[in-house]
Amino acid sequence: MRLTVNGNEVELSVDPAKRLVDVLRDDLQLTGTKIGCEIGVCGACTVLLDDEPVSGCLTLAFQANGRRVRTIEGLASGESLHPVQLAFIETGAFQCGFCTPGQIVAAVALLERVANPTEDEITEAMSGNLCRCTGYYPIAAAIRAVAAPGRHDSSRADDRV
Amino acid sequence: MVQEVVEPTTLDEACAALAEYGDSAKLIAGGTALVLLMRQRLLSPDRLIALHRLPLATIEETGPAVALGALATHAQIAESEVVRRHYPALAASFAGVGSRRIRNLGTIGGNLAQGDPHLDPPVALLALGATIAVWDNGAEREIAADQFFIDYFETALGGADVITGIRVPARLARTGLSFVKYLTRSKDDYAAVDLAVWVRISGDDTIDDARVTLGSVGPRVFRAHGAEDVLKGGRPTHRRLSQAGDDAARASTPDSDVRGSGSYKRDLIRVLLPRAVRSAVRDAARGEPGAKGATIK
Repeated sequence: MRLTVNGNEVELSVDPAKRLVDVLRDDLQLTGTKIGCEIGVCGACTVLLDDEPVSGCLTLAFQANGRRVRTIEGLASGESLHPVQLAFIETGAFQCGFCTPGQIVAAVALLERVANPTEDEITEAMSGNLCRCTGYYPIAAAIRAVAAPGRHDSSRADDRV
Repeated sequence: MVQEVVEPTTLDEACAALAEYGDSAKLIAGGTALVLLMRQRLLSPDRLIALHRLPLATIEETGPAVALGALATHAQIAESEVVRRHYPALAASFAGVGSRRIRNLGTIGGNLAQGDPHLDPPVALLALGATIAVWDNGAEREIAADQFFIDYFETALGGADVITGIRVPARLARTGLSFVKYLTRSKDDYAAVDLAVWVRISGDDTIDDARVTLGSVGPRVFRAHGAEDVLKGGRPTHRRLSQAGDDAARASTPDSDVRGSGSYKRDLIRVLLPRAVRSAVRDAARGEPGAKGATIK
């Protein structure tokens, strides 16, 4: 099969029913994408398929044939981190880091679709990415910071994660 | 172990593959549900017949109907301008399924074929009197939603059938639809109760015709005919709504599970049905087809 991964054309000979997350991690050594629940619930395996977030653990290799895949590894430009990655550092939006690639990829997909999302839109878009460490608040704050610098004020009465 | 993935480009090729491989093959569309079942070792097909190359993903108005291609994803339907214009509540029933990741891959055809009574879209589609178009070896036939959902994970589909599309009647004046998904746990969970109401009204709010459908509270999505009869021919008075709610609750057989006890879910139905009826009547009163409707929340 032939697909584009993080902007690069890749040709692979793999079992067409292999999970996309396994193709990325094992065949392409892109281990940034994590395997968590393996049932599509936790979001640790979130990758972008033609710019839309999907669960790498539920997507089979053949479904990515001829399409564009973007992973956490593809967000930075050379030495420059993606704005969402920088914001995650700023707001302390990760601790153990296991859910973090999935969170960042999901956040990037949201912001590419809606540049300045409302609180409801942030919650809606991110509700499929679970985190056991941070309590989610700094993740939402990171997204707000990228959407509208100066929007990170958490003292607003209607500011809910 | 899957030995082969077949990727037909025409319906005839897909049916030929189904016929050739029989029970050892499974159709796969978005794959989210199927891969999960394979992961849980409930299914072990030797072959997958992938449908993604078939041109079945359009959403369009065809005059008397709104036609949803079987391969249209939940995300596409939820965000479709056509669907939102006709039935905002129908779009809403697709917008809450699973998470965004699931909705980006999962198709309406796959959703219907599963026959899972917890899924949201069938509840709204049943209330709208949808018809499901099915291809079987060169012959297309239609199955009314009323006849489609038979039992727990059992539908009217035969082993050689491929769903090609779903049609709902185009919105007529003075008709309305409401849909309620009552969650007691997380946002990506199944509902404790799914409820949809379709009405046709005359005057301000006299209900001439009604369909009341329920999901997650029995082995299949179903219509509460008793509740429908209570509503028909009169105004949605407190007494009538209360009686309809009681009828719908009595017609349900909800399991006691992590989402609530059976009796709690029945209480929910009693409370939610009147609200859903009033919401459907408001939707019916909002004006001619094509008028600005309620925004999707």
